[in-house]
Amino acid sequence: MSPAKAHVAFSVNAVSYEMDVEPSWTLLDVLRDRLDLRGTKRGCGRGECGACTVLLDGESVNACLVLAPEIDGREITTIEGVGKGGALHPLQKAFIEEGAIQCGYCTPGMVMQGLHLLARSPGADREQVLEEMSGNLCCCGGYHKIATAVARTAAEMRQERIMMIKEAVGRKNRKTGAGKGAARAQGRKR
Amino acid sequence: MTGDDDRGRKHTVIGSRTARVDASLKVTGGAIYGHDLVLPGMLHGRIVRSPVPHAILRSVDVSRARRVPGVVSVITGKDAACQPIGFLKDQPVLKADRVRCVRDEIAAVAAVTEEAAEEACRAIDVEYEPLPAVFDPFEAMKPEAPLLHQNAPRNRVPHYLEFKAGDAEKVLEKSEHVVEGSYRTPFTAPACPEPSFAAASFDSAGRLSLWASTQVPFYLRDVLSKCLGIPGYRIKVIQPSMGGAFGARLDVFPYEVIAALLARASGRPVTIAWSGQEEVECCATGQAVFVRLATGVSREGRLTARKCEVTLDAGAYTSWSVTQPQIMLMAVASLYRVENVAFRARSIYTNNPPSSAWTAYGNPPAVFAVEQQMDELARKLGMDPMTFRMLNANKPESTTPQKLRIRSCGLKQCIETAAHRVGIDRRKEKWEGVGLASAIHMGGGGRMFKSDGGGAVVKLSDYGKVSIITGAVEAGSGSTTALAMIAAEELGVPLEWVHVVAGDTDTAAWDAGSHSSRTTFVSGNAVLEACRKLKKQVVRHGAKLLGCAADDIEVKGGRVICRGDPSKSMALDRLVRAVHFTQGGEIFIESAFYDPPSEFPSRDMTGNLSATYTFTTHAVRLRVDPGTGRVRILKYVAVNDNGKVINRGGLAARVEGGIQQGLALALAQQLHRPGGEEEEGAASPRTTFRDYRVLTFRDSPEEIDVHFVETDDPVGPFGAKGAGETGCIPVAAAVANAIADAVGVRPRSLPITPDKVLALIRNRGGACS
Amino acid sequence: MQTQKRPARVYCSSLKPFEYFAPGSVSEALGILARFKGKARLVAGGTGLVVEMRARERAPEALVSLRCVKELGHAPALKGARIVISPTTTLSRVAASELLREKAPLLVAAALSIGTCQVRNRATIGGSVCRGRGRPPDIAPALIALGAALRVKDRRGERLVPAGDFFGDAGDPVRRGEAMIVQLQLAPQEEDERSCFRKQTACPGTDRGVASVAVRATLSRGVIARATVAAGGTSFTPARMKRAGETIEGSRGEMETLFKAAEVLADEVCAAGATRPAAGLARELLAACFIRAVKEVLA
Repeated sequence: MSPAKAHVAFSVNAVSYEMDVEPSWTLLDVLRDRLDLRGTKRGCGRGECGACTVLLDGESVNACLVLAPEIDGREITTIEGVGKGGALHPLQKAFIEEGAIQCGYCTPGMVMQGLHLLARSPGADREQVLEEMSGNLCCCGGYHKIATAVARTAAEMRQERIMMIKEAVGRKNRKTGAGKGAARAQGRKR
Repeated sequence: MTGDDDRGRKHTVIGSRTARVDASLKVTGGAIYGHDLVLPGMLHGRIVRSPVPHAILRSVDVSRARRVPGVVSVITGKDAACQPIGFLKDQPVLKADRVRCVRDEIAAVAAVTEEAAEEACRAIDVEYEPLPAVFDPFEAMKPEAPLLHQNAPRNRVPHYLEFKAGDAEKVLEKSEHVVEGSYRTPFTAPACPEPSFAAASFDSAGRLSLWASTQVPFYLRDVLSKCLGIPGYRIKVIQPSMGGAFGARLDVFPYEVIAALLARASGRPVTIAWSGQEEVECCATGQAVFVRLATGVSREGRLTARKCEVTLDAGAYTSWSVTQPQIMLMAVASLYRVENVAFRARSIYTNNPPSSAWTAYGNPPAVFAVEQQMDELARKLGMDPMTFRMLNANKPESTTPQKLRIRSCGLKQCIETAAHRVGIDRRKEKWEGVGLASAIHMGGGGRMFKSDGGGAVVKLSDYGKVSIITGAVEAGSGSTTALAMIAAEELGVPLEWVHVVAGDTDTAAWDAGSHSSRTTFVSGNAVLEACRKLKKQVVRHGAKLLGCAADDIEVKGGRVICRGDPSKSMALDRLVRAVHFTQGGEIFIESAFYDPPSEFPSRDMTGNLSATYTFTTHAVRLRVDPGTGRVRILKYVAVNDNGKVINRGGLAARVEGGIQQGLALALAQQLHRPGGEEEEGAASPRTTFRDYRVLTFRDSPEEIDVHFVETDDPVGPFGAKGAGETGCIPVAAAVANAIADAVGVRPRSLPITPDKVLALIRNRGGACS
Repeated sequence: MQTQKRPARVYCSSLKPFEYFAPGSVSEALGILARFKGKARLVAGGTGLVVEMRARERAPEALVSLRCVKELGHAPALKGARIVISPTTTLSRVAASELLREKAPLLVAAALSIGTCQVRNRATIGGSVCRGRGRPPDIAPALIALGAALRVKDRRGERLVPAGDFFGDAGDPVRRGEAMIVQLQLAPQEEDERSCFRKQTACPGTDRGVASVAVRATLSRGVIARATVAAGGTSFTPARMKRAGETIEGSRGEMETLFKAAEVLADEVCAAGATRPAAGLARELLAACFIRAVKEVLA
């Protein structure tokens, strides 16, 4: 007899879903094969390349390592949910203008990790960008321009927040009671 | 931003910093790569591979696999009817009698789910009779070594290459200074970000469609036809967006044919999508190369001769690597001016994974040897590295001993500019070093097949949309954007109106493939020619419709304008509509085929295999950490002569990309044999991305400076030359020269890992690694 | 040569199916573990486990998720003289915790050296100390240097295991799926203390640590008055390196002393049961790592 499925209720890009999932599936499988959201890419399968990066309750994670049952009650944001009503997010615009896209396979993961960084460390300088994006590999060697795109957007968005992420994180904080430490990491205005 | 060429013509689009035409699709997750493809009713294919490097296959039992629920078909070497593949047709697609390397394909399964396919694969029982295996080409050449292929005694691949110009042996003896050395580069994996993929589907009439991430769709179609015994006109190859290729997709590989075999056996579409792990361990490798080189120089500092012997590890079966010596010869006979050259290359079969093409096709390991010896000779002469190189630099409109016909050449400027931009005269801190290295590469196509041509069809629609349909593949390098810019420039339309259609082998004009940095040059010229024909047609109709002479007509800004009386003008789309919607009207579609003026190399390796050549000089300033052996790149300068630069931003990005890839090869990358020895510091002998050492953001140089010396090439479209590969060729050599400068001892093998650097420091004044 | 059967090489993207539980309490979790007699595994972030399962190095029959266990959901807190940390605290929350940044900067530095940002957002401190015996966790030297202890619970009861012992035999029941960590505790670092955690990798492009060193010291007018050194690496069990610490006490970090201390460290590592003698590159990297850690402490 095969193991029982798990029942999960979750949202992706502000759309709610409820379904039965195999425990042995991952979030990446659910996104790509169940929801047909194929913008999130399959890379190394070991959490080393970052191609499958999505936001889980506002935090960047490797979707290939999140077991499907674990997404119950969570909010997920993927590349398809970035930008509003067809308009590009400033980070996406920066990627295009800075020439930070070559084959494009790492790009969705880079954008999601970039968004995480912009929300957590809005004043990030280039050093910080290099450090915090080091979980995303670009085999075409586009690091230089990608870092420029992210650092430029960070500078532009110093005072801004990404609404989706802020709200999601706020909800999570209220849920778990995570303390001041977490708030400081988000760089909330004092 | 506009750019002027020295013909005094101002370009509107060419030379500007333009966003790539595919950028907005990719940045929103909308680009469809092979792994994203969904075909109705598709099955998942998985391959069963040998865990041993050399063995006789006694039995392959698939009975348990067939009983796994969800499995539709299982095939093995015995029942798969197909011809062998490979450069010398020495590789069976599915191995029936013998396996010759770890990862050899033994069987394949197609099932309804990935899980079922994987479970079935694990249920296939194989009995092996292990044979002795050999992993070093020099060992493989010994009489007692195990023989891999019957027709290759002593495991020498029957494709031996030799070149002679002048009398290198004699001239070296008489030269004032001679430097000799041996150099090694290891097996590497191109590590494409997108793992390999192929999907096959037979329609109800038995016609095959194959989706593949391939650099050579037309060649793939030909091989499939011969291999499967299907007439070529019943096969179509389609490329989705590609996540990088770097030479790993230049040949036809077993998994592509296996997808078709599984589709045929199951009667349903089958997709084979590798995992990242499979990609690193099973992709086409860059081969291990052993170079022995001697270079001589006269008292005045002129190069006199080079003598070179290359041994390549072909791996278990032949692919393109055995032809790479033709390009390695470029570095030996044509980089800088030297009259006497002796060159020999041999490829040897071993039980290592088969090696194929890797970026720049053998040029990097050759330059690694050649450019280090340039520094050593400069030192013997008491000359500085920059002056010595400039003294021997190639000149425009010259011919090399290999009969390469150089047209435009900015090498001298590249050397000088690179040296100055890196601050070669600036004071160095302790453990800091500066190194230079140049390269010559094909810039006007690369005649590695009998034809080096490429076709283009250009259509102008009644909305002014320009559709370009070429056979030119883009693997991510940005050549598509360059083609669009060429069309926009020639037809005088905004770039936004131009659309490069992702074609397939049914609709696209024939093209030899994406390699040798040929796309911008070859397809660019084809596109340019087709656009010129279109423009003539537009001008003819414009003259009629506006009532002025054809000579008076200007096409720009998306409009047709009468030069003499600018009030007489018409929007281009209106013109097209007018011509469509009329009795006896016309459509605006033109085609062109461009085959560059070059030669297929003859048996003695001479021949102008490209229509023109690109040059580049890299200069690097780095610091060595004597405690850990780590190397920190402080400043990396690359000065490039790629002719006229078409997309300034895009080309800079590609060169930077090449530099990062070159640095990975120089400092970190080597492929461990799956199941091979554990390396100190590695937690597991299996190779993963991290273990494979793809560099990260943190390993980026502190400063990268990419600069262009724009020569105006007489043969290239708008004066442009090819560009995709030049970024990585001289990197290892420049880094080695800089490390030698910092430490005082030369690294002679790649990668220059921390343990090697520490060994160099310890052995200063003595032996090298 | 003789004919042999060998399992074929198959690359899997999928995981072997398993049963999944999300208990609401520690005792429920322990009950499930007991029921499966060692064939079940706890999962928190899953970043280590899923990789091993995908590579078919592990195939548990059941996974017991800790995401619903409320008892384990608390933030790092000061309880009397000790800091207590829930094992399901993610490494990024460890690094972001104001309390830990102030009172256990060594642990924060160690947490930040692991994996990538994305991995740290899921990987937990409990999960990271439970790696197999052949894979000593990078974070270990920091825990040892901080005098950390792990509260380990099974159906019979609870006990406190010092970190150093946990990385040896005492941690086996947890690794075997027979017990679980319910709390980590450590002493806050002194106000005037300096510390440094350093991890050395073999090569650029990998985060696999060859050696990691944690150094704590109190200085008195530029002289090291008291020092604690702990080290870990791929070939030996992480442990406190007493003699190395003693060697640097009383010095101002003169190169001679540092080199001598590095030698002592290498010998101590051998004595700690190095599976390979600390030689060649590993020895040099350990030495460089240690010397730089001490230098940073003195800076």
